[in-house]
Amino acid sequence: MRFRVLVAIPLAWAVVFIVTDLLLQGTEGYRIFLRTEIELVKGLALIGCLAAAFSFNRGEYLRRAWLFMGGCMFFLLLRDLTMLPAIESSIESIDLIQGVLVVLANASVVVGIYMLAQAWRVAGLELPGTKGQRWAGLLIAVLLAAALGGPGVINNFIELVGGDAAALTGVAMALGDMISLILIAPVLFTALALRGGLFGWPWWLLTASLVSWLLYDGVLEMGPYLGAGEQTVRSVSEMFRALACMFEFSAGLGQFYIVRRTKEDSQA
Amino acid sequence: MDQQSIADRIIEVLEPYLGPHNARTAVKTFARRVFQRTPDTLTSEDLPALLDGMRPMLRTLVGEDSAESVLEAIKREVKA
Repeated sequence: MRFRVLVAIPLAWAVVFIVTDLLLQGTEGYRIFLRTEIELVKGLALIGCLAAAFSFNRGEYLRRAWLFMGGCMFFLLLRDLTMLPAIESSIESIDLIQGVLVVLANASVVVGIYMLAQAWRVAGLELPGTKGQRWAGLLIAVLLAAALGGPGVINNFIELVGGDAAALTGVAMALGDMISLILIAPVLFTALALRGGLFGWPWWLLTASLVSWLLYDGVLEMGPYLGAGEQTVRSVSEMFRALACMFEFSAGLGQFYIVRRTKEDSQA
Repeated sequence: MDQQSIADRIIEVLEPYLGPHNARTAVKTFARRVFQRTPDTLTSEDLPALLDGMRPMLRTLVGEDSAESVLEAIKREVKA
């Protein structure tokens, strides 16, 4: 498997998504198309994470990290399942259940990304650049995350304090997004440290996934202020969601392939 | 000259996996950490202890089985 293919898959998916989205806008099938596509990319991201996790033995560091990454998609898919009309109407406290599932999903992804971002330290590697450059990178990530995720956290928190239990979902999502975005910096530095080597690919693909989430949040937050219509914001943000999930899928597959190939190469 | 080539041979095996920057840095770091010495002073007698020092790094990145395979490849390369 060539790693360029793992880069091309998410990009090709995004192109197909945009073309199909444009063709189906305003039709009866549009909602079904969008829902199906969202569930499909989440499912593929989960498959990628599980493939990566199970390429490691029980108890190994990156197995746990990838399981936490996959945990996010698992809980989100479970939450989406509870949104089916038959289930949603039959459970009284559905808002709370959905909120808890979103909290678990976001907690899981924060732990997963944190572990992947710390892999260099656990492995005893050295990051490139000076300490000052790394702090500058982190500061930029913090500012971007605060600008894009901060308003969502504050608005949802105000609603939650005001008694709206459904706002718990919003708080968890915005907070999870914010922390994940901050972790772009250490994930990128790990990719840079391993540049030119096989082991760096999952971190590059993961960085692409996190940047896509950053753009997803950016379009949702800034799009309306830039005069973009509701449909445009929805289509562009969904394209970035698809990219984020598909790059995660690619990162997981890449990790799986690296573990297998390293074993085979070295035995040759 | 021979001692220098041991570090180079290890770097050569690690480079496709860790990239040129980290392959070089890893050998330097572990030579310092395990022996408090520079890579150019490494001898073939140092290899087992050096590889033991590198084992946790490789295990973290690719798991136990693949890590052992890389360590075996280094042993083969140095003995060749």
